[in-house]
Amino acid sequence: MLIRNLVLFFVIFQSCSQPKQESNDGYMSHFVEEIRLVLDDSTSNEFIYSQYYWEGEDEYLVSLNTITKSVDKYSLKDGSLSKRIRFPIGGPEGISSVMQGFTYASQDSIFVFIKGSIRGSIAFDEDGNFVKRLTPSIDKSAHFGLINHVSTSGNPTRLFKNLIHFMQYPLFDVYNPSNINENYPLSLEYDLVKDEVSYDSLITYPESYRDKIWPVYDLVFSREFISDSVYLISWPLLDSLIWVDKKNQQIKKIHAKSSFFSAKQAPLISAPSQEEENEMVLGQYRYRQILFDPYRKLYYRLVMHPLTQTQNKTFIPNIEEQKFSILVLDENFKFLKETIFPPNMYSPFNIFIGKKGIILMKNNYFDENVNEDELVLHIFNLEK
Amino acid sequence: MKNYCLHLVFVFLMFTFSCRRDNEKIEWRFRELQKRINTKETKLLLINLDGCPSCYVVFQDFAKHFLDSGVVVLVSKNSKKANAFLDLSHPNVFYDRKNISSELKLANDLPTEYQINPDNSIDSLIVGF
Repeated sequence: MLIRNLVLFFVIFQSCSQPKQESNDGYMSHFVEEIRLVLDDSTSNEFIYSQYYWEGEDEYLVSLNTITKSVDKYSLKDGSLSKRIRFPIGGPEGISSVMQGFTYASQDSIFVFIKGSIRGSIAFDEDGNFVKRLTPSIDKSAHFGLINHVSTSGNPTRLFKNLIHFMQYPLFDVYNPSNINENYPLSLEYDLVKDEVSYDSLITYPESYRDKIWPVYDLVFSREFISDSVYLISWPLLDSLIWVDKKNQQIKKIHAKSSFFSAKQAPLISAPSQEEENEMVLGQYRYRQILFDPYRKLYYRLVMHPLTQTQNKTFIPNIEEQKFSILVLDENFKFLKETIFPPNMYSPFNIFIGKKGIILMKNNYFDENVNEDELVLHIFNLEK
Repeated sequence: MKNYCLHLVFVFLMFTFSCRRDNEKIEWRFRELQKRINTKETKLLLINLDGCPSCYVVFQDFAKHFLDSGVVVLVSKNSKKANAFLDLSHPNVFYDRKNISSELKLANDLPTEYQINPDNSIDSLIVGF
């Protein structure tokens, strides 16, 4: 009798404490819709630089097309290209260097950024009319104007009022532990009225990262905007998210741990070889992108699962071979579930939130069945 | 006799191992690439468009000029991107969709130029920015 009760207690205890994980095919129970974007001969299906945008009832996927030198706006209603906005290359009003991201803030404010600098980026409207060139007048940086801004979907650049908010990756030697310190600002803002860049030291390397050597891919963070002054940062090796309230100059840690692993921080003793770095990040769990879903008041955190065989593999492209899970947290950061998505199917880089749910691109590098004349989007509702 | 046989096995294993090592040498890998892309050109430029997004812009002119003297091997999963970079129907362009170059450990993150010398040795140069 005693044994039976003990077993019963153990079973009940286990069922309460076991986080809600889903099996490999469980993700399809959240499937809502498939949208096929029709791509012409001048459009690559990679969509490296892309963002979600809505106007009233209409939803769009907007992309920077580096082949046609245009910003392309696809309707999520029928997958058609609703507008191609060409911008000039070269000359006083054009882009004159390698492009690194864009921001479609509104029909009047579309920004295309150049790599390694803010100076030289341009703004134009939806008719392709030139609006402004970004020319910071005061350069306070230690790198003579070079700014390694990110401007990707994992670290989007956003416009709030007159300020463009950027995140930046370092330009220094990342294997020199003293460079990973509390003084290096990871975010900066460009004031469109004053034409000034200002750095924000509130967002910097987390304490446990400082003065240590890490694989370079473990220094790749993700920032999500909750508002113009509140952000969430996800670090690959932190179970917690960093909540930053810029207005009140406050930072706090929020528990947001995967049910699959506990982040083990094992800094390196010396600079690793490329093979060692690739093996470390591909062979172990890592946190990646953080997303806020304003429609359902949920937070999603991407977790990359390890590859069993990492020999001769490199972070890019083999990260796309990894299975991943999406950790779902409610508005109070309470763990709701963690849904596994299969490897070799979706891109782990371009994930967006739309009115119907989370949007994944079906353009995985290792999927041999991808048709280059279309981009298939799958929408999942992870609320239920 | 037993010792002799053991020695023989040992020598055979050494020989097999050294042959395998030879196969991994750059000369062998270069020749293998030539064979698989069906070219006798002695100068090859390998560009991985997927591993280096900037290469698409930075090295386009360089690659076009290179076509006058050798073969350009373009590594990319995306044919539209590759075709916008260089005309894939050009006889000196080989579109390496299956990533043979990386399999043979010849493609790098940055474009790499290979040239075979009269003494059959290979010179390689990683093309920087």
